[in-house]
Amino acid sequence: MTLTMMLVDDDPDAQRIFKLVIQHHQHQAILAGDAYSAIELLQTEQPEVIVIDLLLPGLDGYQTLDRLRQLAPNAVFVATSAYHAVGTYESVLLRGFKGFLPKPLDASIMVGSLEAMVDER
Amino acid sequence: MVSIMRQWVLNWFQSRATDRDQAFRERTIRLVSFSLAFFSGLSLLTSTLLYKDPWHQYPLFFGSGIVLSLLAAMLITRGYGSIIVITMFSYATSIPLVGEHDFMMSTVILLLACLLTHSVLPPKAIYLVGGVCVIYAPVLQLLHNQSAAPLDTLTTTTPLFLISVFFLYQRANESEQRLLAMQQAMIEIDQARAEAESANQAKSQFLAHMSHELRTPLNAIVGYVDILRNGMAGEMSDLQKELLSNTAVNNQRLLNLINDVLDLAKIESGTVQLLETTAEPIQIIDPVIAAMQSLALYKQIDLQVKYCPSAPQLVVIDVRKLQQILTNLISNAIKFTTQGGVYLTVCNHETGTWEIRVRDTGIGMPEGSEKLIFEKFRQIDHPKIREQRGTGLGLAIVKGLIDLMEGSIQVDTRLGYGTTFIITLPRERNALRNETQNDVNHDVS
Repeated sequence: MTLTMMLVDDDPDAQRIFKLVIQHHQHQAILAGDAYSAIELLQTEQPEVIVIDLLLPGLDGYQTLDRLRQLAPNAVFVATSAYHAVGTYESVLLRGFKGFLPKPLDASIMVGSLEAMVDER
Repeated sequence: MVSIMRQWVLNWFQSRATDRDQAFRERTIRLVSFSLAFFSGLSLLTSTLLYKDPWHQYPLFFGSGIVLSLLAAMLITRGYGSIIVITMFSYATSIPLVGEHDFMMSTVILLLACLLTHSVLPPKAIYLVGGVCVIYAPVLQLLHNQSAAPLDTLTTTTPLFLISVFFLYQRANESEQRLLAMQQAMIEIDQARAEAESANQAKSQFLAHMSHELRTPLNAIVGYVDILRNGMAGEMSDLQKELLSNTAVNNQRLLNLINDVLDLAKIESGTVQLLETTAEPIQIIDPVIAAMQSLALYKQIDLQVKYCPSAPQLVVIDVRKLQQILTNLISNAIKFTTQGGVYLTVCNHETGTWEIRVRDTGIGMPEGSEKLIFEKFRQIDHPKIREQRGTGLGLAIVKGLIDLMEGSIQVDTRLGYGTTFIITLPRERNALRNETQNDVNHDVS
């Protein structure tokens, strides 16, 4: 089954890597640089997975989550960040994300874990 | 005589208070010397006028007043005040018993009492009490119709009072200055602490920021290398794959270092919170062992855990952080072990605590390394250790986390025979227990 997965991240390298990995697994990738372009994209697209970087320009990852959740209530929201120290994982789950992908995104297991989260839903 | 006294007073002041304000010391010495000279002259004059004999009893009374007060002041300032109190109090209580109405001595006693209480009474109160003492005895003597006695007593008590007041004033001034100096020092300490704290915060923020800046490009490198290695951008030759694997290993090392720096910065800045839950030790430790088993298998060594019958059933702890500590210690132990294995034992310790021992049969460490290994960027200088390139931060993080959990860690090591780390943890932190109790109390009320 082909899934649509969205990444909200301002880092062009992260976008490129995400897109290459997702497409390699025959899924569709949508890329947004910040919360506002993500909101715009959600007018036409209905991704099953939305991965949000916690450090975004403008609205941060948590604020972005609150906005996008209203527009895509059925999507699985996953946080990602290069900034993961002791305690990050817990606070991400507490704030309402379904999971956390630490950067660097592991190409070999990333898609598998995202698929599993969609199945769980 | 006066100059000898002056010299003596001067020496005494200088020897016992070198830190005091020079001008103040000069002034006090002048006042004391002047009063000695003045009252000596006055008493001689009084004797001459009253008895036509300058060496009648008054100079003696006066001299005894001065000597007594100086002696008392000296003993008091050197901390022997209690001896005078006891002596004089016994003497004072003996007077009514033997029927002697020696009012001069009772005045002396009262003045000494003033001197002795000056450390607890405010200076003004002491001057008042001292002044009352000076007129107390003559008045009593007048009431008893001892017409000549009031003058006797006054001759003794006046210098005694004045000299006492000088000392009291000096002491009060001194303690006030000390108090001011102490307050000043406290303010400076507070400022220094605030500065150090903000510097530490700034350092932590800088480290966190730098770690992120370093990690972003590194993440891109890791991502692209992964895509190439996994053949997502076309098939690669074996050599190309091998070179990319080497790149990946080094990427990982660099990432570990950055992660460790960030973890340590967070621990040191005090921003790490404990998320404590009630858990069984077996549920905490077994998953770590399972996760590390592949590493041990790869090195063909044992990795085992043994739970004592006395091991606690339940502990209140931050499970993930304890797992991080154990992962760190076990991976370290595996790294430095080539034969035998890594063995964990979980037992009950003293009242309210439990312990986890992580023992390995690895290369061990030279004597004296126990204190150094928990320091940042510290690796024991030994060829075999040097070839295992770690970040040098792992044990500092472990120590930081254990401190946060109000536990302790000790190490027992011998070069060539292996190393044992002994972690002692409270079954429930004191702070937490108090919080819970407060909650309960709150609920009841």
